[in-house]
Amino acid sequence: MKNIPISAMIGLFFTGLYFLMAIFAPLLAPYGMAEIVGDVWEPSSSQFLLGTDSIGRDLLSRMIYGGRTTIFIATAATILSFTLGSVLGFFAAVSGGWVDQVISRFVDLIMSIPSLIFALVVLSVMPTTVPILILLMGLLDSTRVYRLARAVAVDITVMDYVEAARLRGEKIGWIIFRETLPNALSPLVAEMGLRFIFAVLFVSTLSFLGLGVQPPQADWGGIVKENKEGINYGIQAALYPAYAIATLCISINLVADWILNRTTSLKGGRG
Amino acid sequence: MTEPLLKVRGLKIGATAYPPGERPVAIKIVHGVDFDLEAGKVLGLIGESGAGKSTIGLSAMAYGRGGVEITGGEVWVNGRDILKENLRSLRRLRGAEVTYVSQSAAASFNPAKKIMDQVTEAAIYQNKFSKSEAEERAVELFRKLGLPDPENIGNRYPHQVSGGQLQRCMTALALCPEPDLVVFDEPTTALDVTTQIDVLAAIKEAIAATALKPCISRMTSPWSHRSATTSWCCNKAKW
Amino acid sequence: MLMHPVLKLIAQRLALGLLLLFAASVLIFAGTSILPGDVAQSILGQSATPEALANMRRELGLNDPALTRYFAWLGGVLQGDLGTALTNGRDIAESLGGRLKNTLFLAFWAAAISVPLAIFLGLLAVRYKDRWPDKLISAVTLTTISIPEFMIGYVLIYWIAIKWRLFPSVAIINDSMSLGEKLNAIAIPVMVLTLVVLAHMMRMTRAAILNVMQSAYIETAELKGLGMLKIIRKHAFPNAIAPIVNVVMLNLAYLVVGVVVVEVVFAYPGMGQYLVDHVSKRDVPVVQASGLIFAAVYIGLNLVADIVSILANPRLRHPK
Repeated sequence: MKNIPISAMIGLFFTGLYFLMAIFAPLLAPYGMAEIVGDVWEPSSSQFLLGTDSIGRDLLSRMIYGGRTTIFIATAATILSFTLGSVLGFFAAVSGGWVDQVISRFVDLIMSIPSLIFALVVLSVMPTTVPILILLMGLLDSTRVYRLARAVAVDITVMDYVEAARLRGEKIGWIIFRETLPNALSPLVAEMGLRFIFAVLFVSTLSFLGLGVQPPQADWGGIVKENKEGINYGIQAALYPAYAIATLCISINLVADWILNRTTSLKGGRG
Repeated sequence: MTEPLLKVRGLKIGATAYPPGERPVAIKIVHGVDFDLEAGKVLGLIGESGAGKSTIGLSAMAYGRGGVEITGGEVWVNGRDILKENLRSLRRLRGAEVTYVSQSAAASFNPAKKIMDQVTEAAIYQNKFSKSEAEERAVELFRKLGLPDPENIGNRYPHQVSGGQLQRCMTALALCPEPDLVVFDEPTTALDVTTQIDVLAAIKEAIAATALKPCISRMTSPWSHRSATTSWCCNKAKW
Repeated sequence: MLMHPVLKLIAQRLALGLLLLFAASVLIFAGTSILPGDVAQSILGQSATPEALANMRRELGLNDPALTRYFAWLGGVLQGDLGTALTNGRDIAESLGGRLKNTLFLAFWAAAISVPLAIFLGLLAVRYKDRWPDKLISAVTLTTISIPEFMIGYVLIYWIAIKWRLFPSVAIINDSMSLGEKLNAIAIPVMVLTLVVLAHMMRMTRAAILNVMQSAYIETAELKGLGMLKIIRKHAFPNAIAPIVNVVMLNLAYLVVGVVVVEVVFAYPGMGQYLVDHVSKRDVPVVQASGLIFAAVYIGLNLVADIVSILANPRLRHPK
């Protein structure tokens, strides 16, 4: 533990804090998520720590529940994009040949359209429900994981020990899980942090545009949308999610940086 | 006896290492080295990889590569302790009195500029020769180093000539300003064995032909085969 | 006659770009047509009667096979006919024209400010590498890439427009305004976009310059006794220009996407707001048309980045 630099400690602490808040939201939130408990945009007080929102719900409770929704969707999308992207990436790298070509060119194509634009196009005909959001974000983002995973795996598959496994006549699955994966893990874990951040930003943006999580369900992007009018009267309600997202994303960045540095300096030899 | 061209006394060189997750620590690379080099002689430095051969060689130009720092001692070139000089007068020393041949010519040539411009740059910049004199000199050096088409090879870009040719161009680059001392940093490491012999022979010939005074050259271990090339072209080996 | 290899490469890239654009149009069309969602159902809602749905489907030509519909659409697009909007029956190309101009106006000013600033800050960070200016710039950029565009927008609105009253909080422009008035109106959105791309651009510029400055040929130049400025001008710059232009182009492509959200925040009458509006109204022809234009701009800028790196590579320019 004492080898962890301070920045990574801070990052781990806040990341852990947010995830705990997401998990124990119903225990922590002072009021219900959609419960109207006060006047419109009450200032912060001992009763409502962050004040109330545009229709008189407790903002702190909505922030806690909103964090839960945002983090849940982002986590699920990250898991999906990761599983799909790395499995396809490793598969393509180990198979090589036309399988690799077909998957890689298709991924190139998807990446040639900006994710947000593609998501908007698809959401114009699909209902905006949480499973569809997760599926859409996970699929779009898996392209980036695919590229990394494939690059890492191609690097590794030309190494001697993989060649040795091939010559021993091992199956592709064995090569992926026993030979390639353990060595590809650290860059992939660091990338996972970045993908998670991207997913948080993405789902918040969609919700803000009214195309993500639908009310009365709370999420951080949606809270901005609900309270944006308040800004004109100098009410900060819409800014709290910005602070929350910024601290969460910076924390994860710090952790990802540390993981990456740690592994690269292990490789670095002389330091 | 006259004052040697290069006199090194108690040279200490250190660097800062950054172990992951710990405080930076100062490490010592060279712990007090003494040697002399008289004008007209060749001195070879031999040692394992990482022993500090390149570092000592570059100290003749008072240059520390990537975080390496000269922490103590004296380096006398032409009767001046260059470690006491400021950057401005060091710039007049580098590229004029002392020049350098690196181990990887491929990386040491700027890919975006023609070979001739790079070979003559130091000589012109240091006011040793005019542009036309320097170019004439370069062509002469290309010829002595056995490069094909010496008149025109300078108009090519570095990627347009082979590795062995580029390493000879690097030697021409170092010899062009007519320096007093040339530091050869494993000038043949990156080449295959037959090319190595050619390049070494060419370098030796060019040195003799241009009446170049001395040089330091560094060869790596494994000694078994490299020390052969070392003893072959050095009057004096040091280890 | 033999073509110069660079021309050949560029011609290849252009052809590839066109192919990619064509494939993107297929993807955009497929995204709205083949997915299980039904446009007619989406427009009319769950309570629609079966007859109304059938009428709507006929009207939209949904009964034709997808391939027929795609080629009809593509043929129209190639002739500049983007179709008519479902919601108001207006010609899409006509509505898009003015909005595209506004979007480009906003993106242009954001680029005009962010590009020089990013390169300057990148150089500064390299000059003071690992000292406090570098660390400060890194910390600030880390913050700006950790907040979504729209939130940066509201934070700036809160402080600059509401608390300090320096610039307006909505960016409404029209043709009768003078350039000065327009610039005043888009001041905050330009700041937001600048902050959004600045971080990436600056970090990538820093990395590109550092990469060049750590090359062995820079050491060679130093060992020739050249001064720092001369080294940068004669040795570093010719090699750094290509990666920097590349960085700029990639970020301009990113900027085009950032515009979508920023326009919504500031109620700016551009393409992005038009697109988002019609996504919620499920007006598929408008979404397809604007999606295609965004994709085209994005692919185009990436193509320019590609071509610049080909042109700047001495190995390709001066073949053996």
